[in-house]
Amino acid sequence: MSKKKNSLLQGTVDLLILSSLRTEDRHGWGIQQRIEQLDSHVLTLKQGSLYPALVRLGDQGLIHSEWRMTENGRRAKYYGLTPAGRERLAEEVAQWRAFSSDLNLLIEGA
Amino acid sequence: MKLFNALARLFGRRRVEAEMDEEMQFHLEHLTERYVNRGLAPAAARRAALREFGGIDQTKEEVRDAWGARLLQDLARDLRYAVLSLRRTPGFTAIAVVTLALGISVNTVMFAFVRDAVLQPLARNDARNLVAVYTSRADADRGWRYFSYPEVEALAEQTDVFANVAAYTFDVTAIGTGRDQNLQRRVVGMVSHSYFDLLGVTPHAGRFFSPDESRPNASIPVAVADYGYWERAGQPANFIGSTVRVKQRDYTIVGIAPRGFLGLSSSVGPDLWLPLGEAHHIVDGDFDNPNYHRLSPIAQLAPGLSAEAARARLPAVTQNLWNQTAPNEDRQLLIGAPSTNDLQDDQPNDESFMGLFATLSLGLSAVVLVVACLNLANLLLARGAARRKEIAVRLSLGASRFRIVRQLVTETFLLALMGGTLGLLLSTWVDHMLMQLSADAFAVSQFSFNVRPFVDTTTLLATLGFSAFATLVSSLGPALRLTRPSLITDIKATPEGGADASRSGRFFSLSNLLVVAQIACSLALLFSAALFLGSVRHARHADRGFDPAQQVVANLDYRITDMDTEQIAARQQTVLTRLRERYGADAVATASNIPYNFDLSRRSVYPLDALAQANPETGEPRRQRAGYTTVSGGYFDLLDIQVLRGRTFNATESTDPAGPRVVVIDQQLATFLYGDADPIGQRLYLDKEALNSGDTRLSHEVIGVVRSPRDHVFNEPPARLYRPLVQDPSPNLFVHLRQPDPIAALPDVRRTLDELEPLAPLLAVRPLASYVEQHLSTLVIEICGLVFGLLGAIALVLAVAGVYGVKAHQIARRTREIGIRLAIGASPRRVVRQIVRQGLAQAAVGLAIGLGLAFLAGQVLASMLLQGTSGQSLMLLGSAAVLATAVFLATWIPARRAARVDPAVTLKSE
Repeated sequence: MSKKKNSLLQGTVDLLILSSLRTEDRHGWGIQQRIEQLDSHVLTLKQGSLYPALVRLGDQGLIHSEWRMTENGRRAKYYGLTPAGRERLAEEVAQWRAFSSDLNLLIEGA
Repeated sequence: MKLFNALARLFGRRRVEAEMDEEMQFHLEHLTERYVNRGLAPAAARRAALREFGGIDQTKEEVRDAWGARLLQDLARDLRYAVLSLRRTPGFTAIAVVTLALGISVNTVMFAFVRDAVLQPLARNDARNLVAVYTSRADADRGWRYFSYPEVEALAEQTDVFANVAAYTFDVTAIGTGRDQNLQRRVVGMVSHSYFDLLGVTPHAGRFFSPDESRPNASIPVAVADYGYWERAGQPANFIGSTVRVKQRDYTIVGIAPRGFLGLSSSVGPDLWLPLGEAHHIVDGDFDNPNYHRLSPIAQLAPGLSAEAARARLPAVTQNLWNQTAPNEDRQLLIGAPSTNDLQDDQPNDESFMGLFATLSLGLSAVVLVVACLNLANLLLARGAARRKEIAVRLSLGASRFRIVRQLVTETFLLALMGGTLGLLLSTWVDHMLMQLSADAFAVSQFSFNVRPFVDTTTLLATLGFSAFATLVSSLGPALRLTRPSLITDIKATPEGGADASRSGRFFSLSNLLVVAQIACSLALLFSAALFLGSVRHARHADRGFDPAQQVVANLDYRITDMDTEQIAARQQTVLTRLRERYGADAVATASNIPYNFDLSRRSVYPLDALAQANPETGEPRRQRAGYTTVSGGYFDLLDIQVLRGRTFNATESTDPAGPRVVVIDQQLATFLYGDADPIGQRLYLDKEALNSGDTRLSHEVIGVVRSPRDHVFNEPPARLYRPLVQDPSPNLFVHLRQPDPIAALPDVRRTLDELEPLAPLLAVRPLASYVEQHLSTLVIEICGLVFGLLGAIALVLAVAGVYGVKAHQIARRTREIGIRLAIGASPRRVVRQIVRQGLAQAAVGLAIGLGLAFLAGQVLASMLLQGTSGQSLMLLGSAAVLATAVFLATWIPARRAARVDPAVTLKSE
């Protein structure tokens, strides 16, 4: 991701991670894949941001983690949303929608 | 949560690191796999993956940051550095730790006292919305009285104001069996069944009382034991269900009160609780009688009702109450905070004394802590000045100011932690000593004393709080000052201080200002302590109005015999006669009571024309409540009670039960009843029926006025009246014996009384002086004296140590300057004089400010001090002189040492 895009996405790391865990529990690699799947040219999350963010969200009680076996028989640490995480995600999504809606209006108006 | 997780990760660091590594490797392998799938060779794919990952170690470091591990690691490093730094200066560390320990221990002890005496009882009462109910009356002689049981019942019916009403009364009676082995005079509480429920307690074991048991005159002999009583009995397993003899009646113990429960009192309580239905056996009264006023009610306000709202409804409650019980009663009902000061009183107790005392104690101890902190701050400044160069170098190398301040604060925190630990140990020792003193004294008193565990969670938290306060107050100022950016000057500074040395020598340097503040606070503290000690000394040596020396008192309790009043009178007369034969006619006297004893005997005294002087609104005759004592002949001489007017009882009056009705009154009662008029020959009535009969033959003639014997350290003695013992024999008799060595005489007295009176239990044989020494008020005074004396001494030690430490340091850093002055011809005496003059100038400024503070403290203390605070100016001057001398010595000693240094040696070493 270019620097310009990176600055646009600043402050959305938590939203990205929480959203990626909405449907199922994932390991760190899985989270990164999920985000890149959407549009690998726009949304990428560096490991240097991903793992500290996972620690922070865990400390806030928004996600939980546990070690499980993958389909390939490897051990991996899976992350999932806690009830508080789901609430936070709903709030962040609502905020983001309002923000992007206003931004769209502003851009279109211009 | 974050701190908890950080700590958990710190302690499980190896596992957490391994898991992090595994997680990263997992991610990297998937990334590598993706590059392999894109066609790269495995090695190239691995390199590409590593490139994309952006450095595993960096990512791990960022994760560790997110864990908070770095902060903890930094703190651990700071602590390690602080330990090394303090170990390098053991002298400074020891002084700082002891200084803080003194300040912290004083505050911990005070906190524990305030917690026990004020905070916990208040919290308990507030939480349950409890109020005490009183009656007031407009007529002047006695505004308050107890309630009858029917009145308490009627109060309980006022459910729109009171959710629950309980009643209680206390008495001192004989508990136990045997003649004097296990038989003791102890306090017994008699309570309605709702009393415990109202105070929110559940039994430690067994049960409390049922409504049936507490119904007036129910006569169901059950008892609940105080926890301490059960402990003293050895905590037998079959305690519940066992019997205890109270006033020769066997009571089955049905429960044990919870540990520390003393009813409404904050520190002393009864040994046994009996249901109200048993009260008539203990105090010989009919609790069904609406005119028998003996009970104190305590109530819980209706849910949601505030005390103010309840007060607004009280007039209606008053009307309802008297309509049901006493239609002619003119008293108003009042509610107030339940008293926690005494076991019982017939009027609202003023809790403000306790509150004020607690506030002042905490205030004074807080000043000690502040002085200790100022002391430490100054020591830190002095020590920091020597480290100024090191700090400047660290700043110039890029260390942030915050980082260095944190390091300095950590050092002080470590000191405060050590000081706090030592302080806690010290305060535990002081507390143990005080408890031991109190326990010894209470062992012979009539109360159960609640010894609470001193080091509990609250005390530990409070000590930690004091330590944190000490850290902040003493470290922040010096730390900020020492890290003030003035790098070039500081790097150039010599190890001895150089540029800074002259700065610290300046009169208005921070260091000197701290010395001034310390002197000012210390003077205020010393003066306050001197005021307290003066007051304590006065109380201790106040004229008691009687002479307890060379007196043995033996207590014979006839109430627990089957004898009637006539038999008791005859026995007592025989005992008195025999004792006089044995010890001499003028060495023995008897009385119904003694000063400094738990005494509830009061009588209403009506002057002859009391009806004529009745309250115009209520028609109530004029009367005065007075302590009532019946005495044998020779009593006043034996106790050395001075006769001010008239005479005491003659032989006929002292021996003839049908003799003339005469009384001796004390000067208080004489003033109350007759003002300036001569009381001798005046007549008075001792009960209302006699007064109403108008028969003057039923009145008593005042034949003498004596000095009022003081029977309490704090208060003025109550008005008192004496009658011949034969005219009103007391079933509870105190035998006074004059003996040159009271302690040595005890076994003989005990043996003699055992032989002479085998029927009545001999409850105590003690020197009269021990009653005075072990009275609650005397103990309070002694403890106050000890505490405030210690506070003053600690303040003085801290002030001297602080001033000496700083001055010695300042002067040591001026050694070079002093050496030069001596080298160019200044005389050592002149140098010393100049340094001492500077020190005394600081002391003068400190003392001037301190005088103002001390004056303010004196104004506040004057409202609560006992008598004997005259000579305040002298005390103030004395305190100032003590401090000035201390400052002089603290300056003179190091100055003299510096002036003795050989200038040549000093200059060469430079």
